[in-house]
Amino acid sequence: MPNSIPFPQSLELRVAARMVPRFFTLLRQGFWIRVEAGASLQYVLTHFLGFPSSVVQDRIQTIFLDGNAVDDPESAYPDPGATVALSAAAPGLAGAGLRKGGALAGLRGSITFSASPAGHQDGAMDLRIRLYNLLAEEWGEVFLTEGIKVEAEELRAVLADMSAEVWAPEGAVRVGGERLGPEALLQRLGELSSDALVLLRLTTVSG
Amino acid sequence: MDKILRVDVSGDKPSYVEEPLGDYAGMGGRGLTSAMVSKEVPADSHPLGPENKLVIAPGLLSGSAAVNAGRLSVGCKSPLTGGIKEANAGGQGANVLARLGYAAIVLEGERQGEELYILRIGKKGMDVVQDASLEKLTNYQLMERFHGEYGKNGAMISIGPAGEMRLANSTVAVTDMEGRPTRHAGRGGVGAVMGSKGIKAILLDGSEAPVRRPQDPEAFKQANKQFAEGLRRHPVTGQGMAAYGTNVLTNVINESGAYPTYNFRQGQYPDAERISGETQAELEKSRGGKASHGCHRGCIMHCSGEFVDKDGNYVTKQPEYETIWAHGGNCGIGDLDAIARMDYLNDDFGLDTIEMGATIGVAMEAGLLDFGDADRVMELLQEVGKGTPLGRILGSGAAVTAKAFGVERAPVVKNQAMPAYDPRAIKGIGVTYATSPMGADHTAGYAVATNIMKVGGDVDPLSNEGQAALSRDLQVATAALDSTGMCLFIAFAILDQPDTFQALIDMLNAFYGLEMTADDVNGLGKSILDKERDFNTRAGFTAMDDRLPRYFRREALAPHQAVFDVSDQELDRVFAK
Repeated sequence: MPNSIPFPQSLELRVAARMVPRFFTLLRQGFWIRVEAGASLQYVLTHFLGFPSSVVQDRIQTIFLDGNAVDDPESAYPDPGATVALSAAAPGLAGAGLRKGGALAGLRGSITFSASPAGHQDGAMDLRIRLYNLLAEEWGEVFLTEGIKVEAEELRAVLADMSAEVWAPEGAVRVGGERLGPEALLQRLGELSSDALVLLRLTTVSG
Repeated sequence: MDKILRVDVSGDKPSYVEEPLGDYAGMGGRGLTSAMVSKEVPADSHPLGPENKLVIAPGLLSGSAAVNAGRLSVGCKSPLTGGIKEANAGGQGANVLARLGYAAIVLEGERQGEELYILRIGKKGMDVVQDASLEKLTNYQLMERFHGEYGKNGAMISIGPAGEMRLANSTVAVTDMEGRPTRHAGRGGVGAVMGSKGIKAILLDGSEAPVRRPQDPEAFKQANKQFAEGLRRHPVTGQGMAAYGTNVLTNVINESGAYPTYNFRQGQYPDAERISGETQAELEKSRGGKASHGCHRGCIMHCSGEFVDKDGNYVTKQPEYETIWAHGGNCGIGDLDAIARMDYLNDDFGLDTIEMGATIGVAMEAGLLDFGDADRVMELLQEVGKGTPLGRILGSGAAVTAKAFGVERAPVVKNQAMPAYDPRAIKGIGVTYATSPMGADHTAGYAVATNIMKVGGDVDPLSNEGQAALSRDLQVATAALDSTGMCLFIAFAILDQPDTFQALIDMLNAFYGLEMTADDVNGLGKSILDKERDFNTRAGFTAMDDRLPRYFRREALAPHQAVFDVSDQELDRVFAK
């Protein structure tokens, strides 16, 4: 988990609603959440990420914990700083094999997450979350409008790649109470250490 | 679909004869190609010699009203592997050929001279035309020449310069709904066998060719409806494939650490997101391309699309996951535009993208060019298309290239390059790479109805013994599926939804007036694999050919530090009697 350097309050971007999907790449690269230490993966998904149990059961078909395929999120306990990646059902023999609890799980036995008992940890821990494919499509706007913590360098790179139309209306970037233009924002982000975290929140306008 | 068209290239000019199915009645697709090759081609023959045959066969349900039944099988003795080969393609070819009544076209005999021929096949029979101006035409140039003939109601089956040069990496191209040569029977060098027969293109005219009628129309209609509903309600076949195509796998496989990177040196590619299916779909949509499109009429999954440049001009069809991996992560190229141009060149010259990308990876390992050097890759592809000495080495595949440049690390089995899943991280796929009679092949053991067909049997699927059983039963099930003409991607729906699998069997039964059960389907798959393995045995293959290269046991793959450790005994047990 990178050190969180306080970027002035938060970064709020006003964007046209149709531009929101351009930010999904941030969800795929990963954002950070703070959860109770020792929480099970199931608890993280339902209580901290807010997925309904039915979504965890049916829609989230593939779960990785630090690259290991998880079959049962109830019995998986992430360590602090772990990466949790979530995907809808994926095609192919490999896609089928990687699904949680699938009949073909044997294909990837060596990278299957080995369940371990819950640790007795106090306090909080940070996890990196990645949302892929249909999950980003279906839940991305919720996360982005509520706010996600992303690494400053990754955010800067993504924003630098965006075309001018994303930035309209002009001057609608708010850092704390301050309004910034795109170039000034990129400069400010670039001044932060590469692993600093920024709280990004989108507000959408019609169009 | 009650006749076979045999084209004999032995005389001054190819001649042809139509004959009834005879012993091949009830067979289609891979079942038919492998039966004919196994029976009629001497196993010890040279793949480019007069004894080899190229068999082009639509599936059992092709040409009917069945959805997603447009796969075309192309079989022969493989110039790449030296064993039996079935490569298959989407596009319009299978449906048109089946509606013209042909269960197979067989190209056979000894070519006289170096002349090139066009075959025109329609309701009124066949016509053979010699045409010297066809020499070295690419697939897209053939499209420009003949689109007016086949574009509306037909299809073109063709070879590019790679097939003409009889390169071991050469495809048979099949045109899609727009008449573009974007669908390829890619693996194993089947284009070289077509080239060895001097047939440059087959133009199919489907005018007045009726949709094939089932024996029990009402039962077939109901089964087809239920099957289509099953595909539509499944999250992969009904949603995921249309949204992102097969390239949705890039992020998932990369996350798992099974994404072969830099010629299989590591299991994760740092720039995977730049070439992921999600990025690709967003790029295509932002440029006005089609991110969702079928490869043949009757497809309801729409896993393909059109890739356009920043000005909205067509570049190529939406490249598949395997293509984007082969030229992308495997070669350290994180640029979708560059990969799309490579895909176009592969289609145009008639090259298998998996084999070509793996070959370039080997060439990078050899120091011929740097990982990530997209411009040099484009130059090398042009060399293959032109047939320069270096191009001919590269066009002969990853194994030959590795030998030419003194490189051990050639990711091949039976000389065929591995696809986009590292067998050290997903070992069950490694078992299939090793033991498939086709050589390393990701489609050889697919996900088919484990619950119904008892795939995996009663053994623990997590054990090594279980992996061998799983691989065997998946290969059996896939061989059967490859005979139906059904797109392999239906496997996801029939894996999860027993009623969808039953609907497929019901369709076959209603169409042919049969009473097949799941066990019968299993038996069909076993008989196909038995023929294929028998052919390979007669061709000189032994258990030692059912192995991965040793370095997969020796070199640990990051990030899991995994090696391939399924024992030789377990591999030998896959098909033990």
